[in-house]
Amino acid sequence: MSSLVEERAPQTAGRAARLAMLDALGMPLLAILLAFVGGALIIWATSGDFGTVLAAYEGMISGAFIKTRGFSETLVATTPYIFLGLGLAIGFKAGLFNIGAEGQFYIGAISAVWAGIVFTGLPAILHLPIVMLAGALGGALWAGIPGFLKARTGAHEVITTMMMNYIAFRLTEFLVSVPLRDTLSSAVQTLRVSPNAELWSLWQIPQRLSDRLNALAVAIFFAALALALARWFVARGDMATRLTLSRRRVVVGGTGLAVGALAFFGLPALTQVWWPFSDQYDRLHIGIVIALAAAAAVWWLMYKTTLGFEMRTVGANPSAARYAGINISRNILITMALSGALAGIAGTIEVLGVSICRCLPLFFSSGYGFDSIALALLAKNNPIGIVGGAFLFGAMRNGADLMELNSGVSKYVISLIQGLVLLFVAAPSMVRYLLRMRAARKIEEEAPLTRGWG
Amino acid sequence: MRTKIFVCVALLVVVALALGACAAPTAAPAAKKKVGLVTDVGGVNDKSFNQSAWEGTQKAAKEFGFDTKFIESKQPTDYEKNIDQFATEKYDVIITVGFLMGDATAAKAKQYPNIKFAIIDNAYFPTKGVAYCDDTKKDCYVDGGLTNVTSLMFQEDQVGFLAGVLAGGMTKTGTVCTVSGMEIPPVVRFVVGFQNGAKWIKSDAKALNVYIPSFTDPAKGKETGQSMISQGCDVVFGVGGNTGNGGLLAAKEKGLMAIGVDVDQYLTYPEVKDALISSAAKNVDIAVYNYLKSVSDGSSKAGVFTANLQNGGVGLAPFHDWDSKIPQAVKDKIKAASDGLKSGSIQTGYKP
Repeated sequence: MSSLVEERAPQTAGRAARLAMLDALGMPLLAILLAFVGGALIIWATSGDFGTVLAAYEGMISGAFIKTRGFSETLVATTPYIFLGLGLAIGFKAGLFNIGAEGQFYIGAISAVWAGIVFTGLPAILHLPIVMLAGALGGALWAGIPGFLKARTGAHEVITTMMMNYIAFRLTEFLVSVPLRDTLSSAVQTLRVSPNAELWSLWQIPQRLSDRLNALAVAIFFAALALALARWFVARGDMATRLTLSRRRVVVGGTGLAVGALAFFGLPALTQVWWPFSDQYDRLHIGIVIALAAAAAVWWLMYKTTLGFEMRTVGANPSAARYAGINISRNILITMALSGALAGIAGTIEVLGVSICRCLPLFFSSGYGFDSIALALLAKNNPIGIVGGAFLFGAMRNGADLMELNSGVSKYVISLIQGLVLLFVAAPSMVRYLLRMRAARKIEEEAPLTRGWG
Repeated sequence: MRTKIFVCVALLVVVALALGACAAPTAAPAAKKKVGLVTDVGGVNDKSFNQSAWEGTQKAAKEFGFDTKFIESKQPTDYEKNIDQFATEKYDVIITVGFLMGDATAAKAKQYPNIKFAIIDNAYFPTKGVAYCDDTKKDCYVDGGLTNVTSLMFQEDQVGFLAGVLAGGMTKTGTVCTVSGMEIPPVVRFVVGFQNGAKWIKSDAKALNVYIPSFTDPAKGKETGQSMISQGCDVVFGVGGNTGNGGLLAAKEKGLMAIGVDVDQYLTYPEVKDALISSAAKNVDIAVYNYLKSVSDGSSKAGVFTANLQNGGVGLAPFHDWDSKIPQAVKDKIKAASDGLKSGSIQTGYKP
């Protein structure tokens, strides 16, 4: 039901699926390439020197991947993009054009900082989940308000989420500069969160893991991951028929336990002996791992659960969904809250993992939330596509500095290239015209990006 | 059709790779010293102090033969990354603009002890609980580990005081006001000096002030200016980058008087020149230039260098079009205040 493919005659289904795949994967890739070519033309036109184009792209690639800590910084920038892109994609899939991600990011960040400051003396195994939860709740609440307004009164979420952005900015400014302010610091910023609420940088891991409780937290994370994987594995066709239900439970539980135990006893010892990250100025942190796990979780939610199915149905055709007995209001509310929660976690991670002060400074104007709208569209709301797109956006954002430094090309060219990507993605017929391609037959389920009032 | 797509994709990939791979090595081994400037979020065209710092850097580069580049910070978490960008590109000198970059600059200066750092508007004092220089140290620049850092400071309270004298002398309503940016020491020095200057010349003068927690919000600045004008203020002093500029604009639109900040805003912000009676200038460009000069001749030192009225590092900008409209009595008072501040017989009233 996820596409109409399954309802076609079997012999054409394979071909149609391949074409659909090509359309889903190829189009964004072509759009990206064309955007870079367009960017090159613009740099060429404005500088009048093709050497500048080469220097610019060379600088961007070197800054994003090659130079000292370049690749790490790219992953650091990728992490919030993944969360924000996922959050927005959930909304878009359900037909909700949430453009308030930037505000939800702020509220998530400030909620997490608050939770990081007021609770003290908790071990990381409790404190980290608490701050993440606080960030998620903050974002969920902030997006939930427009969701409630839409469900209850029909107020259009584009307007309300945009308004909520400004309230979020001003509220955060107030909280940072008055109640939570660190008066010792040179900058206007909040107090530092408790060390146990910080997200671990990779170079800290051997030292962090030497604490038994931290090792336990990591073990639980890996055990959960293994459980999910094992559960998916045994539910596949042949395994499901070969094993009885109780056998499968044993396999799943056993795998989880074994991986957890291995992680608990093995990882601390292993990292003491061998750990490739020793540069303590490297800002790469465990957020990227959490982000990848979140992408998998969102994929599962969207495509393997009833809730995800309902969301997609509401997005594809609300009237049909209502006719099928799906509670639209409830769905809008849940979708918005989830979308906001992911944005809130992005803010949490940026503050607890990246900012050196492990605090929220004033002027935390990230722009991540707005870029991510383009990102979600580029990825066609597909969680895997979002991971790839986030990496691209992160690399561009990070490479931009060295590009500007080496070639003198303003780093705002990056926004221009992102804009071109969006343009080409939004208008696939333009790409086809430029490349003289024929259109694949339209067989995809597509959610309208936004609907009218009511 | 699929082959066609494949050909297209392949071609594009080739082009993209060629772009990346064939790029010529960008710089020949340069004997020139490399100087990098990291701006605050205001950016290098802020008509105010980031711009002034960059102008000073360029002037010095021309005279002493430096290679210079700047990076604009988008947000505070970029400060460290941007400094690092220069450091890993083997720059010799890194200038950071603004009080807000204090912590980031200190952290990076410790990480890269062989690079010279200069920071504008922030001085380091041993402070309890501050990791890079706590209160067990005597002097951050000597035994606190910041031996490669020069702080370029300004006595904004002095020039603020003179601006206050001018405002107090020119006001008809007896109320003057400041549209201020964030409440950080350099801004507070301007504001406190200004208020005391106005009261020094006119003891019953009323001085209004609002701090707006941003340097990049002219709309809010204008709104604040309008609200203070409606409370009787007829000389608006804008202290806060672009936010302050909004205050100047509010005064200009009402046909009142305005005083600019940091640079001679008659030149950098000509849209409000009709209202601009003067500007409280801090010569960031000269301070940066002098610092780079000392780098060039090898005499640069770590520590705090303060620009003040005595050494000409701060001062009121020319009155320009208002020169004929400002009474001689007021000009005399400004002269008297300036002399008094220099000799120490007048205090600005600012206490750190």
